[in-house]
Amino acid sequence: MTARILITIAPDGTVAAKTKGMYGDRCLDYIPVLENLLEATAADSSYTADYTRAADRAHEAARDLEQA
Amino acid sequence: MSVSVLLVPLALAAAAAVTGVAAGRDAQGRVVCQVRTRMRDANLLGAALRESGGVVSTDDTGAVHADWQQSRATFQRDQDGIWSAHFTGEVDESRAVEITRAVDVAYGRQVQQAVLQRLRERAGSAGLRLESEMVADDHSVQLVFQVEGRS
Repeated sequence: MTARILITIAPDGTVAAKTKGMYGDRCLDYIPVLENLLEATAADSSYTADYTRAADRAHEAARDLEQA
Repeated sequence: MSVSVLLVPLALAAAAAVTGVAAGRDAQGRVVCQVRTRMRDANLLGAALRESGGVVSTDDTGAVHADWQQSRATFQRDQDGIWSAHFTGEVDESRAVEITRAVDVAYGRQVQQAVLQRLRERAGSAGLRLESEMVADDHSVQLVFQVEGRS
C-alpha cells in the first residue's frame, strides 16, 4: 500500500495531519518531519486502527514463535 | 491510517483566541480596554489588521498601531512574544473583544495561507509529492501527499 500523508489546514490556522499506509512506529517518524516542515508543534496525537492492527500482528507473530 | 496529529503553527500561541479582557481609564480619563490574543507574528498581524479595515503603523518601540474610524488599538508583545491589544476611543469591553475577534479571524486566514505556501515550497525536499489539493465548504484546505521512496 502506498504511504500517504493527509494534511488539513483550517481557516483558523491549525493543522491536522493523518498518515495512511504506514504501520507501527514508522508513522511516528513523520511527526518531527511535519513539525519542521510546517514550523509547528504537535499539540495532540493519537494512533488509529492501522497502528493497532500492526501491533496486534506483531504480537501474534511473537506468540507463534514462542509456541513453535 | 496509523497516526493522527494536531499541529499548532509557531505563529499561534496555544491559548484561546481572545482572553484576559481588562478595562480602565488612562490619565486623560479615556476608557482603555486591554485584550490578550493568540497572535505571535508581526507581519501576519499587520496583514490581518489591514484586512480588517485598519490603517496600520509601527513605532520605534516595536508596537503596532491600528486606526479605525472611531477607535485605535496599540498592539504590544508580552514576555512570551504574544501580542496584546490596548484599545482607546469610542470603544467598550464588548466592542474591543468584537474587534479583536474579527482581527483574529483574519489572522487565522493569514496563518492558513502562510502554512499553505510553506508546504508547497518545502514538501518536495521532505520527500512528499503533492497528489491533490482541495478547498472544503468550511474553507479548510485539504492536501494529500504521497511519501516518496516508501510503500
